[in-house]
Amino acid sequence: MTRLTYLPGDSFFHRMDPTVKLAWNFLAAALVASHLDPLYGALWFGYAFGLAVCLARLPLRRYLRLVAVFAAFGLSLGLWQAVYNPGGSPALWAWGPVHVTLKGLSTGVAILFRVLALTSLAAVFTLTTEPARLMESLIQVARLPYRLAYTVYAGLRFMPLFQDEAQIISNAHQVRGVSDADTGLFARLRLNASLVVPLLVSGIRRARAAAIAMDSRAFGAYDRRTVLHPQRLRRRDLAFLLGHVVLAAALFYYFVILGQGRLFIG
Amino acid sequence: MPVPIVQVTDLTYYYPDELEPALDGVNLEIQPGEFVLLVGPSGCGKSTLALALNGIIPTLLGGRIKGRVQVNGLDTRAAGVYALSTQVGLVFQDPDSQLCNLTVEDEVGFGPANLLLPADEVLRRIESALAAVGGAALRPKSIFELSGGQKQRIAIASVLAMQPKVVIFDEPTANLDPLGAVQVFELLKRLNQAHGLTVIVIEHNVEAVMHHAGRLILMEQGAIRADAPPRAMLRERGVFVTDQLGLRIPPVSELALRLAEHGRPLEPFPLTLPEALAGLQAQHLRLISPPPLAPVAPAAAPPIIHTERLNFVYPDGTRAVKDVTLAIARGDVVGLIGENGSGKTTLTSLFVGLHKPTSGRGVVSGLDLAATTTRALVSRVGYVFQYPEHQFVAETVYAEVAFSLKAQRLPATEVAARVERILHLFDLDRFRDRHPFRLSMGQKRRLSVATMLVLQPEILILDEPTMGQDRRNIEQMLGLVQQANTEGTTVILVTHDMELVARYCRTIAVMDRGELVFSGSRADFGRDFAGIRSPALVLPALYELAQRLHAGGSGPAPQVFTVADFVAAVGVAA
Repeated sequence: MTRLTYLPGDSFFHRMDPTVKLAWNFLAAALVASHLDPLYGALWFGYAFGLAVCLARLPLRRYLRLVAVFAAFGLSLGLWQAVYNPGGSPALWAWGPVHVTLKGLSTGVAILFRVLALTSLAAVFTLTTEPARLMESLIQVARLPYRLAYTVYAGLRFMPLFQDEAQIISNAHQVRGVSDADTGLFARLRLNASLVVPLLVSGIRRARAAAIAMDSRAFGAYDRRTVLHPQRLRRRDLAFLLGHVVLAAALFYYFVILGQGRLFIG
Repeated sequence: MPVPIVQVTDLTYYYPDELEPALDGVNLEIQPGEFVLLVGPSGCGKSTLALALNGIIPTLLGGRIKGRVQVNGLDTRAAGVYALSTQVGLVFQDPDSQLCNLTVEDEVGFGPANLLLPADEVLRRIESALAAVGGAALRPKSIFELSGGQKQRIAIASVLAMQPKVVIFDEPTANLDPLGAVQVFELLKRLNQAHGLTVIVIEHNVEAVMHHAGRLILMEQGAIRADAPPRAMLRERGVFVTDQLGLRIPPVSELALRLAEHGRPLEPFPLTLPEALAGLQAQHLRLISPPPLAPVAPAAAPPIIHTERLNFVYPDGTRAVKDVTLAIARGDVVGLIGENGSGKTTLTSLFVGLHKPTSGRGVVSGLDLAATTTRALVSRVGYVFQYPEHQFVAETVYAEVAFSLKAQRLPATEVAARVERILHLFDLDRFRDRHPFRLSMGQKRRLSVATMLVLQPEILILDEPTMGQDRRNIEQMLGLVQQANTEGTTVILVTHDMELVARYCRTIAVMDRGELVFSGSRADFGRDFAGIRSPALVLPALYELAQRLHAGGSGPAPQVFTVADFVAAVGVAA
């Protein structure tokens, strides 16, 4: 299975400040999602691919495998659009109730590229960003209060534990013969509730233990904590941000403000 | 008299909304550098006392409190949790709940960084705390990469980095295999002796820690019942500890108590195996009677579980079960052992169809694992999970026991009759209308076994049935399991507890990294022990003691696993 976890490395993107990277990622994703057009999407995908290969130096196979998973999803979305979205223009091809039009087709392609571009951006971010460093940077660079940051952090840490536990409880219930029991709606709802209760109970217990463990190590004693790994904004990170914002603005201006992309929709 | 580091005066405490006190007039003084072992039945208030010592009670958890707790001269209520954080450290049984960072370095530095110490001082403390637990090599790792034992080491280091005077360990080895437990307690002893740390250990399974302690404190119903050096306490009040309080003591100490009853006391009273050996030799006790032969399930009995090159690979590629070929005879009691992550639980979950074998063949009670369903298997195989709460699906004890019977669509009169019988047998009648989550730990355990045995399964699998349990609960539950066994149920115990294995199992199977590395009778296990590949294995204490006593003697190796076996083998009992 391909997982979205940090892949140690020494590329420009690996060394980049996580807050700057996160900011750029959000902005880029917002821009990708703001306009639906096949060429616009394709350019963004090309850009994200370029980042992955040149700036993040991700292993090509790992990256492609990851994108392929989402490509299948994008392709099915795109196909659905192409086939079921007979907007106005004459059909290129028709079979019974199915009309494939130029507009439908271009929308489909645009959606495919949008999904690919978004997943590529997300992959580049998560594969090159160490979670611990992201948190340090959010506290030091983005000035997030550390108590808040640790709350999010604890959520991240407990998530896999909760998933495991939910699986165990579901297994335990299967062994009790839950699937053979009354299949009425009411009974089903009650059984779902019985799945939630143990999870809640152990969640509360875990949270309590974590709170005790943290408090008894003086968590929250002061407004600040000692900084072990100072995070600083580097000039080249800001230069990257500036340069790419300008590039993106140009792209956005050309396609959205000037409306060049509509050419392809006809 | 030196100044005590911990002083508890007339401490009484009620949890919020509780009518019964969790602590009831506790008085306690602990001197700097002591190693104290605190034991007592489940729910006796020992963990509550621990939380009162570092101010978590009542500052964080609320409730009503009377009396006074002073640590190193600080009043816990006046000083507050943060000031106490550099006086008292706390380590729990589940490191997953107390580690709150993603990397080892951040975790160990967490407390000092909270104290706003200068960065170079924090780094120094990280280094020395990791060195103290023998974990320097773990420094660059992320928490996710660590094993259970390593996580516990890091949890200890993260507390040591606060440079506390006192550290309380609340069942620190409950999730570890036997060798891991021995190592953790040796570490605590070293910290106690080399660094002068005052250590307080709360534990049920005391075999590996009793001899380290200079003082044994018994708690019951929120109060301290006895307080003495372990050797003196067990010699004079051992029977009270085991039979009245229902607590575990080291097997060799139990043997010494029994021999003393027969007029053959071992001196000095043994807490460890070498001490017991010396005592036996001083008493000129030898293994005289022919060793009792372990009863073996008749070989002719067709196996009820049979696998051939069974494999299971998780979706993430982990090969949890590798080429396991195993036969379990009908009516047998099997102990399945091996270190954490060796594949024991995955193997048994294949037997109830929670996973489908990736390849190979497995037949359970005549059903082919590749072709059958969980639904078909659970009518023949009962599976008791490690945490009973995970299995509860109903709102009352009665409904809980009736649940699976109803699911099998049995007639109402038969359901009622069987539920009544089992509630009575398991001593749960009184709680029939109570919510299962509101039972005590031991009652929950009994209920989880009852919900399985009411189905009269052909096979019963129990996952870590003794974890966190006192002796009384263990004996009650295993007695019921044994009874089911005499009525024909095949039992599989998945466990780290070698004493449990020695006492109840006829057959032992050992797993290591997904492979079955041994399967055979108890006697074969002892004979082949040295050749079994498993990093976590220890011999049952009394078996090992018998072998050492026998060393150099003639005749076959003695088959001694329990106190009764031993007493019979030395010819003391009439």
